[in-house]
Amino acid sequence: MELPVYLDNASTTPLDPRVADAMVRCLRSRDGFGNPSTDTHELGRKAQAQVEAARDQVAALINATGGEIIWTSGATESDNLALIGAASYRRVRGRHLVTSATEHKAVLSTCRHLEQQGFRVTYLEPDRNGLIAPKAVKAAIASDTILVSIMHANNEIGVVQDVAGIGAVCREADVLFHVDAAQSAGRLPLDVQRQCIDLLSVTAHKLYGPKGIGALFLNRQRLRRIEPLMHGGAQERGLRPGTLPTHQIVGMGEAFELAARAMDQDTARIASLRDRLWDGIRTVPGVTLNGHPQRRLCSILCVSVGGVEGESLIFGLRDLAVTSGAACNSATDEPSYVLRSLGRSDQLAHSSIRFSLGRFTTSEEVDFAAASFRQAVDHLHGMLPDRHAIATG
Amino acid sequence: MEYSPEVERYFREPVNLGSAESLAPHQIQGEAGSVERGTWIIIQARVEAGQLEAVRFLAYGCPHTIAACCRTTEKLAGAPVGELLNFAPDWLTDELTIPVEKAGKLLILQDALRECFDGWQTGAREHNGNYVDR
Repeated sequence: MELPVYLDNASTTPLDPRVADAMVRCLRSRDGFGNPSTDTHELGRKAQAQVEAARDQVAALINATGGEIIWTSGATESDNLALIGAASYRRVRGRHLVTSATEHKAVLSTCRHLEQQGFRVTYLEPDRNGLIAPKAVKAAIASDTILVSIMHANNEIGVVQDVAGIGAVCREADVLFHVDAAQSAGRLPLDVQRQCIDLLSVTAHKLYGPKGIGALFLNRQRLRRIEPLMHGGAQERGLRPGTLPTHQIVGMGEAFELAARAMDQDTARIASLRDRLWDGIRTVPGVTLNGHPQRRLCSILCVSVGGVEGESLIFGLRDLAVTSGAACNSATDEPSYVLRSLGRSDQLAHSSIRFSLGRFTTSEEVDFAAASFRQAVDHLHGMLPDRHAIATG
Repeated sequence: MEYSPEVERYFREPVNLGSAESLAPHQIQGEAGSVERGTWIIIQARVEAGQLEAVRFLAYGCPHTIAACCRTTEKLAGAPVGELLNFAPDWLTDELTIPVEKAGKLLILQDALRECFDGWQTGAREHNGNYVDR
């Protein structure tokens, strides 16, 4: 077993060797280096064929068509393009958006930006388990609402939202529905038709693909176009200019096809490892599970510990590659806003640990993680001025 | 966050760790901070003949705080009780390579040491000025 044990797959996943092989083949081949937007010669057309094949692979995972996929640099750009692009295009219809307080910063910060541009945004608070009820979305939709954005699975606590229910509410109200599926794509079934999704953000590097490539699904029947964020080329039908990175696109296509083939098997195996980990740490004094006990992603286990200071806990777990709260917030000293939304105290928000498992996680690693966690918490509880703090947090 | 080897060593094997009754019955105690503030320290000491015969700590805090408590209690053991008042955090920031943004945590340690001294003084006054051993 190699240390540190990698349990941070919600931040990013290691590249699947089969994906790396596909990318290397593309990089080394004369068929891959041409500019895929150049159709005046064979080499450009061969690269374009690889790009279009990957587009179909990504579309297949979400029951879309290749023509509805726009390549981006990742889920953050996809979220920006979806929200700013759709809101700007539809601003004559209205200036109100609905989202939740526990979205990824890529959505929340974009909403703040739109507020500065004159839009209104309603931020729905989740229940104590992190769920947003479709009826809460319905109640928030006003006559000038143009878009609802709710993530499929939360990146910190792994809670899975009822996107089909929310999608139905949006469709009935004729409001666009955007879903950030960065965490859930390839781990949960996604069907943009059945779930009434109009815009959907995905990324490759959370699904054993390369960093720097993602995609936005755009329901062409519901939304003919959106405003681009950048200008300077006709690529991606003018919605996302710039020369396409063929090898990364090929990698994303391969990763999504592999995920489609292995999803049932991967999900069952990873969920069983997650439950094994939870069984190994649930009796540790002061441990609380964050998020809904059933409606959660197979890969994420987020816990808080009473009577333990967060930085010391992370230091005590230095043989594990895990994050405190969320990787995106680890650079700041602020307690996790997602956990605060669930009503956790600052102490419990600070002392949260997110274990995120993946395709390459082993049972040996999970057992090691559970033992390390028990040891680290016991060590810190042994220094605590008053053991009542374990229960009170 | 990077930690110096000294901080890592103290964190892994803390010295002078106290308990509710570690220095009883002749114990003075000072407390500062709280869980809500992110740092909570209790300093316990036994004084004999005006000397700090033993000093212990309990802490809820970051690795730097734990290391600072270890090093400080090591240094105070055997010193005159008045040294509880003379604690200045500067030497610790250098010795343990504690980053400047953690300076506030050392002030909480300073407050706990001062409260410990106050406890000793109060005890001494109660015994008509002749009190040295609690």
